[in-house]
Amino acid sequence: MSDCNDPKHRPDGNTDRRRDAILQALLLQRSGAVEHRERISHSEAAPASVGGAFLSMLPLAGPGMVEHAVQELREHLQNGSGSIDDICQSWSAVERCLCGAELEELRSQVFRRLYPEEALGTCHARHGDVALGGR
Amino acid sequence: MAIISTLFEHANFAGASSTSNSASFRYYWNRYTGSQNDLYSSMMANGGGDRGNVYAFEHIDFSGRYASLNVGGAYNTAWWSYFGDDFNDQVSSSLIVARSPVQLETEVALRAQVVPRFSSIFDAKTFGKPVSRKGDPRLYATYFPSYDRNSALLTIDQKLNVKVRIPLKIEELPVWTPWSKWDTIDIPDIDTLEKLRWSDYEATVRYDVEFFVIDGKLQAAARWLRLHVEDGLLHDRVYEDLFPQLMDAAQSVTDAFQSALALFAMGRFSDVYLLPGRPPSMNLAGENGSYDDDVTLVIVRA
Repeated sequence: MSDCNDPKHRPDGNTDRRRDAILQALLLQRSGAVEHRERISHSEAAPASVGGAFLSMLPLAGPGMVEHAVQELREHLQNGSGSIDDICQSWSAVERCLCGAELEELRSQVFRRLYPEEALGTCHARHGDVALGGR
Repeated sequence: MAIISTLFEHANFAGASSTSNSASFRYYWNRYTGSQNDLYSSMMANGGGDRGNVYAFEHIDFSGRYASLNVGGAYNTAWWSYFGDDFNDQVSSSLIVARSPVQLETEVALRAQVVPRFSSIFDAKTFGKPVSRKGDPRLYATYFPSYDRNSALLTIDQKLNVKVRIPLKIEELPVWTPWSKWDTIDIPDIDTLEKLRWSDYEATVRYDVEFFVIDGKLQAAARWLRLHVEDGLLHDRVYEDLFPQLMDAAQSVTDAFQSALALFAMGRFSDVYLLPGRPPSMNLAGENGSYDDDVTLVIVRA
């Protein structure tokens, strides 16, 4: 008894169509090749000095934490005792969480400490022009 | 050596911002995801008396085009008031590289040094074999990849052409079909077989090389081998033939770098690091470039 699933026992017309379909499947079957990767040798060196962060616009702080960080930032700014590193650290934590008048007020104070005031005020680009500068 | 930089949503330093401080790190990176991706239009950096370079990259893995700022050379503060229409709202990652005092540093543009040596080694290793280079290798810095998160590596990226001979003994090809799972097709005649006999496969090999200092001596070693073979029926066979040969060649790559670094054998060094692209001109406030224009090796004397 012939097995209808065995291609060797199928009529010729079906065999051609089947071959076409199989060849098509053959072209598709290896989609999605991946990169093969292997470590050649292990590092005996000290790790590089690296810091970094994944940033998104979503606030990362819980309730109360933004207020606390803003208060800390205000203290650094007001009494003048905050170092650039302190101000930068506090500001980095809150600058994506603020909006409106509070953002504008704190940003102008922070950037006066981080950047020379005249740099932010006098180096504007005209619309559409590339503008590179330094001081 | 702290470098501060801020990216701004709009031209002229307006809108939402993202500020970073390199603090005591050599490298400080940011990857911008979600609504911060492709958001920024202007950038400012301040060296506060220290030297550094800040890069805003097109892609999230510190690749693609970049706009850079150079501080601590001719300018202590530098800015792009507007990146320009071609690069506006394109930034997906940024990198601050805090530099050492200028009198301690030596910069080496690697492309001119590495490409001829690598090509010569590769051609010698593959002479008479059915694998050949397609053009010269690309060179770029790979920063903190997922497979080596704390490393900055020099990547040598070479496209290959591989000729694969299909054995004449094949009379049937096994194939996977949706309706009958594993099946076979007959190879109908000798002419068809002859057409199928040779097949060209494209592949890309990448060697990641690490530079480091041990006991004051500058060293380099090939750390990772990455191989990509294009899709196709013989993908696995191409990979299995090629990968061991490329792994063997890795030692030659390491030896070639060690030999080149012999120029620095008399010195004592405290650090070595990589800058993307060509050596920055510290007399300019900033530059445009692409991550694969070159790689700059910076060697710091002890």
